[in-house]
Amino acid sequence: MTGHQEMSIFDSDQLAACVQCGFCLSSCPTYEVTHLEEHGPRGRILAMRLADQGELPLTDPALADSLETCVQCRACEEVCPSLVQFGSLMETARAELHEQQPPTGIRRLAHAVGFAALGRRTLVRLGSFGLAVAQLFRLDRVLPDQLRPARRVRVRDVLRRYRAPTDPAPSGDAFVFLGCVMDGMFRDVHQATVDVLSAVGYRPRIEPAPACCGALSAHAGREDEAHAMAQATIDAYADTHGPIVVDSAGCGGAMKEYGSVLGTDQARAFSARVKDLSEVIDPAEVTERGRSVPLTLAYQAPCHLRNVQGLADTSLALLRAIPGLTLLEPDDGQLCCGSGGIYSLEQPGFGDELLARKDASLDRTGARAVVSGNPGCAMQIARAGWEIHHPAQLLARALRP
Amino acid sequence: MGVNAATHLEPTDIGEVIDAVTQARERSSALEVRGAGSVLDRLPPGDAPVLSTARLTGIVDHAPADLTVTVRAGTRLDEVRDRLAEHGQECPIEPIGEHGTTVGGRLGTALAGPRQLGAGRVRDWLLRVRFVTGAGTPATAGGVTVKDVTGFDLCRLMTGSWGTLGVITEVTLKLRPIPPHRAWYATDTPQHDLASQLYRPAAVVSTSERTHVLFEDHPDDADAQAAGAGLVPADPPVLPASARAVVDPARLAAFRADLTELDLTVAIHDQLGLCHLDGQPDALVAARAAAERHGGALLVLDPSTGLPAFGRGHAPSPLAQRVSTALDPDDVLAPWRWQR
Amino acid sequence: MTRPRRRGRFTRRRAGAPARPSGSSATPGPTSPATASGRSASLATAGSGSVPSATADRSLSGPETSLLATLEDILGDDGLRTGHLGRATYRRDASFLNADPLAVALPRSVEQTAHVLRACRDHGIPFTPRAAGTGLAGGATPTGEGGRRPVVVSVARMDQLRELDVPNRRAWVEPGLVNARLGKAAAAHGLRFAPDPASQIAATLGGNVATNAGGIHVLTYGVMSQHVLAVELMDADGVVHVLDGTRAEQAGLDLRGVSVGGEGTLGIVVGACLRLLPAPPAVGTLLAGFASLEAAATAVGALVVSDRLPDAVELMDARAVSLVEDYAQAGYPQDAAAVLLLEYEGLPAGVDAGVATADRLARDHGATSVVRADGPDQRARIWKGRKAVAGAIAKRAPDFYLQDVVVPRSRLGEMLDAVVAIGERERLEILTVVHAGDGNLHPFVLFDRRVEGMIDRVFAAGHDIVATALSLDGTVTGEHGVGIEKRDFLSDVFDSDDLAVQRAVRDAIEPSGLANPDKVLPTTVGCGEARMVPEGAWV
Repeated sequence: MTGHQEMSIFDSDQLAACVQCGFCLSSCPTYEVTHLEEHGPRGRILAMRLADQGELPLTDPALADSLETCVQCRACEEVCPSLVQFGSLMETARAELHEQQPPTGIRRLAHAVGFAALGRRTLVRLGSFGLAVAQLFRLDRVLPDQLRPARRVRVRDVLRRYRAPTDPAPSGDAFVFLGCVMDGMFRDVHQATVDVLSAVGYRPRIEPAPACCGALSAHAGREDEAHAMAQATIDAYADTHGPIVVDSAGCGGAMKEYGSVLGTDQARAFSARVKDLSEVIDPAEVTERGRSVPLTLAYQAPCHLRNVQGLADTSLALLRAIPGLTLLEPDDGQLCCGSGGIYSLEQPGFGDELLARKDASLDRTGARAVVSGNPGCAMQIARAGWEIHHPAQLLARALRP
Repeated sequence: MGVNAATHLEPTDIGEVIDAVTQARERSSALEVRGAGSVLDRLPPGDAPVLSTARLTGIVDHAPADLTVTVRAGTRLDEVRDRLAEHGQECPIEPIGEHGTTVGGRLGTALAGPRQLGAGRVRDWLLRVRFVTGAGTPATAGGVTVKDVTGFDLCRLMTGSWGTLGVITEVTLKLRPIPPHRAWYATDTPQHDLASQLYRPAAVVSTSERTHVLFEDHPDDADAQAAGAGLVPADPPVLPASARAVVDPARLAAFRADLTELDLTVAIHDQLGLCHLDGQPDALVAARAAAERHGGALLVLDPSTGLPAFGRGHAPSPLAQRVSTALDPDDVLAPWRWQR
Repeated sequence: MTRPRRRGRFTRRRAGAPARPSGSSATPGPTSPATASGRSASLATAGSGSVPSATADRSLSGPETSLLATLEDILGDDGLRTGHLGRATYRRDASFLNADPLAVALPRSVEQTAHVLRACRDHGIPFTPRAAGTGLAGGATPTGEGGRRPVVVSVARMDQLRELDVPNRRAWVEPGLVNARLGKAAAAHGLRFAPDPASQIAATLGGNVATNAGGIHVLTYGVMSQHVLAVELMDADGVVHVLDGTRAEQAGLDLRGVSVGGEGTLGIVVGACLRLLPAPPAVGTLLAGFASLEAAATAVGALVVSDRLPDAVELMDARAVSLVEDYAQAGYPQDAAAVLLLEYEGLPAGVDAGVATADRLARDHGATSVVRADGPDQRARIWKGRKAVAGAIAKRAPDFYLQDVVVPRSRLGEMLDAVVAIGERERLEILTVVHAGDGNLHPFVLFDRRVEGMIDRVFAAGHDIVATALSLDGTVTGEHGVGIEKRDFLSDVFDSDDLAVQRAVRDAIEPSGLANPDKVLPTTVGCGEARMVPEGAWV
């Protein structure tokens, strides 16, 4: 609005929206670890303001650290009475940081290889296959703990072909979004989603199968790449009709925001089609038809389901509809587990501490296993030795013919 | 100024209070501040020069719509009660003993009756206090609104200061509607077992025979609570009045066990850690020692016992002494207060 | 349920574009590379830098340099912030007043806190206590007398619930424990902690004690002080005084009572024992819409003198009502000029009787709608809306100045009218929420500091609001505290004798003058116009 805006990094109205009330502090996982303002949302916005006003450069090490240590769980948005668009501000900050200070050395190499692979389905599957083989022969032990996926990937699963009925169904077509990591390492979950959709009257469709939603790139500040992936995803579904069902909370959250990120009618129309699995299943039907799933599980709402999609309660209600299933909620206010896309790799200090806290809070529930609907969370929590169930798998068990 | 000014001063306004304190200060003398004497008359030494609030009386302002009343310190509690009752309001500060107890006396001593369990402590009903410090400085703290964090909370400090910091001349109290229904009940069930069954009773007192409960709720709620806990309508308990002991409620059980070995009549407010006692002086001395062992204190109200009113448990902390000195630098106000 | 997102229209500054030269290289601490090997390494890199290099751009006095070195010895790299960003993030609390601290110390224990305070004392450097920094009066803004920059001492890391004593219905807490977390822990045992300031999801109990916080259930439950049984107050020598009020009748002076609301000027609250109450078996919540502010204020008057006092009576004006609806979806009547939120708690018959009375009185006084919450969900939404007002302001204007004045309940209507008139006179948008049962108004003056001259009108309006409250026998702060913002107004509330007595008590408890200097008591008694932005602070 005012003169200095040409020079600013951030949208001045978005920055001004924060009144520094501090209500966000206790919702922020990293603030809870250090109790430092610079590791909380209010301090991070202040850091952005200092950069925006030119008091400190964005590349000031302390300032960059403040911004890079954000896990982007967006729990602060959930409690912000001012409705500050924190996630958007943070993605802007990351993009700018990435541009001013691109990763160097081994990190640069890792990013280059990793993000290039995400966009290519065959590479992801090849990597997953390699991992499965390595795990089979315990070769993965040579990797440092941070880089060694806790998820046990079986060769059989990587090679698995999705079985989906092809006959028209009463509720029409529902498109299962495969994504990158999910398709590489969680094919059993996708198969469960297919089975559930089929059981409730949809014809599940695997194709088209765009490569990656771009969420990981966006979090890492790779904005152009993220936008390209988003557009490619939208284009892939251009000639289709019906809900696009996502069984990964992170992907679902990102895809629901294509509309506002890309700002096109096409993107908005696409985002409106994106549904979490919990949005297309009627709990009453599950209670009525479901077989008993006699398990006691701790319910961990993925941040991007809870804070971005606002579906934590919906998902919980659906799971509670499954006969025999007992769900226990951790007492930590659903603070982030520290996964955050590649956050646990980039910020192992915070990532490990958040995992330790999550581990303890899950432990206090008394449950022996966890239900969580996001691949990042699943792999992070599994690192602490937990058995993870995906909601789709529980629903598939309940609704099996 | 009142009659026989040498030993018994009866100022009629704040200016005379200032004069009395200032003159005492200049003479290096000291004063005992006294209301109706319902408590202090019983406290040795009884022969100190007295500054009485007996003529500092009157209800200055009752604002029913604001739920406040402003009264001068020497005003009798029953006078205030009757005036408020005309508007269906009350300030749930109860008289102690049978004398015509005053508002200033209740605040100065902070001693309260059984209803403090539900209604809160005396200190919580004071909104504004006007007083004259031991240096002869008139001061006001607090305000006439129910919420006020303007400046330090000297209202709480003055409550229960036993006339050692200043002479309270006028107070503004918070009011509430008189509860729609008030009834005492009793049961043989021990107090301890009742606590979890009752929702915020107005008072719970156990005597050697029974547990007495006061409800100040909607009659249907009182009936339902009474029925649920096996309570039957009863008269209010008669409380022993020679002494009262306080301990941390968490240590009450241990204190109570010590008391059972003594020849005492006891009434106990469990959740408050407050005990009323009657007994021979030696038993009271033993009870005081027990209270102090458990981190508490015992106040002797009956002068005929020949015991000092205060005990070791009342000894002011170094920080309290500093505050006392700040407001009463020359020890004009009851310097003998905590002596024993 | 995704939130609408605006995409920022922005032009980026290229690397090397002009930045303010001073302070651009304040923090040459190490970065935190992806390959950082472990937790401690990564956390420690979070920008503190080492003491000498971090402060190389500022000229430090000898004692300051020496103190920082001592503090680093006490707290380690991880517990001290001396870099530009680390200090900048502690320039203010939730008020609009800024000042620059010398450093920020984050002790992890009472012992460490004592060492920090002793170090400050030995170097003659003041300290400003802080916890969550949600205060609205600048109480945690690190101003220092005579240009001495204080050390901010944050107790946020001491956040444990030490003991939940269920049989005796009380809790021993560390000062950094968040208010709502105590509530949650108590709820598991059928208990509740009554003080519920709007900031309770983030505000700490240490801060609540220090400011004598209020909330929306003060009318019958009372302010914080009524719920504080004991305070552990650390003085500037690092000595902890246990100001005990756990006994029903205190033996000796009620120093506990003075320390509650001391706003950090009497020392640091390092622990407290808090009273818990049984959770009410029944709750009745009403939402009533009125066609005018006046009608709502009259209804409040009738409720206050009715035969059962509501446990909460909140009034919101039309602007406030429309502002929070997007966030809370509370179902407030959008066509009403004022809304009352009423709550009765307790046993069922009493609650029903109260609700029936309130319903009748509200309608008698012109309520256009009265709705009773049909369950916990609707009740939660109704209160969520009320608690969101301060934050939701940002949708209307980038800045706000929140006032906190109290008037006797019978003067509420007059005060509300005056606020409207002040807004019109100063051409400012003011919206008001009121703890109506307590006569406690919170007018929010909305503004945009980027507009030339606007801030002067804002302060003029703020001043007039306070002056009006005083002229109506009210006072300048009901629950936010005096801090630095209201400090100079105390001369209008109290005369010089009153203030001298207050000062004598403060000096007796905290003789060093190092604890949160410049706060609460005016530095110069009775000298003219109150200033909202005292020397040493900036907006």
